[in-house]
Amino acid sequence: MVDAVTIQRPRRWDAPFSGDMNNVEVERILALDPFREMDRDRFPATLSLAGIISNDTRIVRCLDGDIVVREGDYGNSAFLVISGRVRVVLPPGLSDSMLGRAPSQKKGLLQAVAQLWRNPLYPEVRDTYTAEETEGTASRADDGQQSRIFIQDVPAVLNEHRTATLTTGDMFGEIAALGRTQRTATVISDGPAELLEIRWQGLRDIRRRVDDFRRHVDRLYRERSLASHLQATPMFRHLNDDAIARIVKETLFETYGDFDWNTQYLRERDESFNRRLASEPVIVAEGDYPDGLLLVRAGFARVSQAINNGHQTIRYIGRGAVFGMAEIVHNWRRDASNGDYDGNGVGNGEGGIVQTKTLQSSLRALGYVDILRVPTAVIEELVLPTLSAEALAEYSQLDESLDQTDETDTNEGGEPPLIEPGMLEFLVEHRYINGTSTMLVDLDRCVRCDDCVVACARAHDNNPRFNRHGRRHDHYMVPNACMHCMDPVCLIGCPTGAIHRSSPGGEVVINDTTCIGCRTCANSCPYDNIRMVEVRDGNGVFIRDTVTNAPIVKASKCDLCLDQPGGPACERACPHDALKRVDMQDLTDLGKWLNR
Amino acid sequence: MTFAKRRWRNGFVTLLAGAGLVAWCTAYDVALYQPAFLTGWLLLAVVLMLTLYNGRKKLSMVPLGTAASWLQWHIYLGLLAVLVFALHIEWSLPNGILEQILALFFVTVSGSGIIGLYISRIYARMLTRRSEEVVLERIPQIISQLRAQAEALVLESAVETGSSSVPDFYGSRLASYFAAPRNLRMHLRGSRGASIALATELQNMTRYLNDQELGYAEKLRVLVDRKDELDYAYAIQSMLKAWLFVHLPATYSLILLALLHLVLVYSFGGAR
Repeated sequence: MVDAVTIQRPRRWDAPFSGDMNNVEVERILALDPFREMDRDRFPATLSLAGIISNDTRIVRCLDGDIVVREGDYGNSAFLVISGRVRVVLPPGLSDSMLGRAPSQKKGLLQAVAQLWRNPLYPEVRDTYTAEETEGTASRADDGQQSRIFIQDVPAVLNEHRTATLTTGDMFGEIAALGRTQRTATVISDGPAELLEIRWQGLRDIRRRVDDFRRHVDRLYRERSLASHLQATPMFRHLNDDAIARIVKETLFETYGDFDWNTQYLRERDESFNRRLASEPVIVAEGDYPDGLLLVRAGFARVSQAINNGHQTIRYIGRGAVFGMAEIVHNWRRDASNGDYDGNGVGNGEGGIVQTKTLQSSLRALGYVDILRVPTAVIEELVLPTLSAEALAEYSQLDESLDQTDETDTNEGGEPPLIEPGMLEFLVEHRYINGTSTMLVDLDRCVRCDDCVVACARAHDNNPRFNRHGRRHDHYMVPNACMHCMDPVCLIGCPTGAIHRSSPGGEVVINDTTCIGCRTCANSCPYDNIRMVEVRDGNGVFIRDTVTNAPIVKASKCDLCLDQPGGPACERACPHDALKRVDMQDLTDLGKWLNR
Repeated sequence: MTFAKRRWRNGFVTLLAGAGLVAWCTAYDVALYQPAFLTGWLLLAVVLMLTLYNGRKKLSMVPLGTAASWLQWHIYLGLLAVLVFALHIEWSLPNGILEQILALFFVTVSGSGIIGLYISRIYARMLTRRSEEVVLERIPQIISQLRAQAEALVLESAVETGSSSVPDFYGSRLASYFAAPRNLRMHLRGSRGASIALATELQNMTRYLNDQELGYAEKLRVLVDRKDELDYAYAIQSMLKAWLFVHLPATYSLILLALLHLVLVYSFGGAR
């Protein structure tokens, strides 16, 4: 009989952030602000503050001009300045080329046509990688931690750009780390600086246990981002500064789900639907009293309704969406019309009195969701009285108009539902909802001619950047092509920032020059849409590392044909209208395409 | 726009254009001109325009509109070309040898185009409904792997059971079946007759097997089913591509013959 292989159950700190945090360093950090004043008794023995410092932080030593964080990058850590100083580059910020990003330049018409004969004969051919640097920047490896891009002429940059200085004790990057949003500014080291980098897990645990720290982070978010976030929300756009300030003050921050949702998703994707649904944290449940308007600040959430013993997904919402407005408007109108409202939140439903409307559907976190909860009382006091009758009518239908179950029920023999429930479940189940350019193929129209693949290859030096193969639902397939996600987890952890969002379109692209082939992005992508390729020179010979002789590998994926004059070649090349790149946040467009 | 609406719109515009064309030819005729010259040049222009579609497919990197919109033009302009052709030959068979060959090529091109369109719409759906997604060029390789598995299974059966029932059945009935894609015509007709017949033979054979042999027969049946699915995919995917091997060469031949026809018409005085 073969003995079973046993391993120790993996634990939180099996893989510390850095192996260099010895006891001396930990004690030194604990003696610094803000850790010095934290009550260590608030941390359990299994999750001590010293343990967090030891396992969830690392010391980063920057040299003059090192770029600590880049504007637009996704980060999973915050920084505390231990010594020295750093500069935050204020808008308009540094150019993409200075940040080590590939300039997005479209090919001209002749250059595009020339691809027919200029494309290399061998796959994945690259120009030999020399010490090619981008405008004003270069890269260097630090003491075993990471490669860093640095700015060569710091004084010139400081002269040409407005900056704010952060010194010892200042923290930055915590909003992007906790809120899973892009870095809003570039931070560069001004002279040698020592920083403490805290990964989000440690940040989360400290925030959970130290009120001052939580208040500090919340205050920073309130000061720096919340007002602008609210003003970008349609129903708050017309409010004056005082009202916005009041809402900012009253808003609650809530976080649901796992920040590393991609690993959880990969772990659980083969489980049964009910088990996976049960593991999704419930933000609000169907039938609850709507005690606040929920604004999704980051991540995705499933809106579902109970059907007997199950839950049917009726739609999904993502960043910028609101939930619960219809019920709040309904109840506010009810209060206005029911003079004899007893004040305890529930009418008796008799004698013409309209009952309080509880939430019509549940909201569950799909992975990681960051929620802003604006109390109902604040909405009723500051927002609803200022809305026009048309706006109120629109918002009161917000949740229900998209409720496809209702639509199906009411349209007897009429139009089919916008998106068939099975398709909706399929998209949510496999997290395809994350895509802003998800490739969908209608197999009933697709004649398998591979014109899409050929066109993609022609646009990328004869290397197709996607695989016409993927999961199917009914007669639709989602091939393995980069979806240019709203929440691109592939960006997290890229040591050189080679994979980044392009500007202004926001497509996720890879700068081939700065990609070091570490596979972090490919391993992070939950959809297997990034491939690692071994690159060759013009003669078809593999390019190798001069030291190890190992082949040089690069991450490769769809770039939406950013440099091509006509946009995505795959979509344009399909003669049978079988292929479309779909923004999954645009349910109307998706529904129209599915119901052609 | 839904496909149905698009079909109605494009069909209506084509009908309108066809009616205008008939009216124009009639007016031309009434005015004592020769409509054959008008329709001849028009036909050549339309055929050349239709040929541009293939060029557009090659130039996928140039923003010349989507291939899908080009295909729509190709389809409806192609239908209009049939009308122009009928007007050109005055709704009767041409009498010259060259003209008859030319007409034959035109009919081949148009016919293969219409059949190709039908195949594209129907067979794509058939493929989706039944078979798994597999690349056509890989099917022979997968069949070869299946054959190797089947042969290994049969050999194992002979060694382990000491019986020749399963190997005999394989030798007489399945060896050729696993050798290459089979029953293609039946698959193209959507018929499962051959598959059912083979399954029945396999079932009949099982009457004479013991439990151990039955296990091997069942494994063999799974391989037969898998091979059947691959044959189906091979038949359908081959047909989705094969019609182009008629349509494209016939088109280029048609253009060459049309140019020859043009030269002859002008050379021998009919074009004055």
